[in-house]
Amino acid sequence: MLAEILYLALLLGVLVLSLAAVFSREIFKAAVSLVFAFIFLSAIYLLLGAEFLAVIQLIIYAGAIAILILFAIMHTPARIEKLGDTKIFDYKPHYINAFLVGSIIFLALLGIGILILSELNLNVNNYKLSLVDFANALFNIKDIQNYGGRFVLVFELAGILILASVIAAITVAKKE
Amino acid sequence: MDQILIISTFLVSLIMIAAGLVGIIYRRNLVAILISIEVILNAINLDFIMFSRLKSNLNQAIDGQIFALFNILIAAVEITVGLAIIFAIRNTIQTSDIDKLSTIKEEIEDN
Repeated sequence: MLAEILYLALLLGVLVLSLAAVFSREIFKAAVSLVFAFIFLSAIYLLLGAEFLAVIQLIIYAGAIAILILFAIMHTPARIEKLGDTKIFDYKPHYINAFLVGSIIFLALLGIGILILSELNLNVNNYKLSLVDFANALFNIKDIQNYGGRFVLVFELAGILILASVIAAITVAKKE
Repeated sequence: MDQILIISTFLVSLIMIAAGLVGIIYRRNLVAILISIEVILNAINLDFIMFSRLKSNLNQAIDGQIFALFNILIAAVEITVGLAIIFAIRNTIQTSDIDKLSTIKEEIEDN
């Protein structure tokens, strides 16, 4: 019972923090709340029984990506924009479009989700997935009869993708 | 109790996806748009991991987690290239406001 209450509290925290990350007007506050949303999500993954992904989430998201975003924010020259009179909601014509698109997508996904969730039987299986299972699914080509090593090609392509992205980042961002 | 947890997780991830889409259109700062994309990718990861627990087969259960793993990787690649593009834009036209980028095409055509 305590775990369920903790899970719901973490979900609420993730929801509030990610809404703050999207809609906060100060970009630094948005980035910091995004970092805390990442940390809460890794706690949720722990409660869902995905320990390896929780650690990966902490290392890559809360470590690397957060530092990259904060570095990009800090790298900009400090320019405090006057927001005019601080109204809570200053109207711009594209806000209507934004909320229209968001609500349409939300309703469409909600409909699809209700259809899918009514088909599924919602019984949670408590697997103990270990790192060995990950390694089997990713690398163990000799056990191909039992679906071992079925992601090895995707893994190789992911390595090529990372190499290409590093080369692209250096090429794009370097000064002439 | 499991049903409540599953449905609430699904609703939270839906709200995060919709909010991220709204943020992509609504925000004008380029870094804020990247933050919105990160929120969407995290919502999808949450769905992958939560629904992978419903599978009766262990192979299928680990498929969801491996998809989430590759999704994290794609997010890292995307944020790297996106921030590089933002730095390049800042170096050339000294802004990170996306509304001011709409005139690039005409300027290039004039030259």
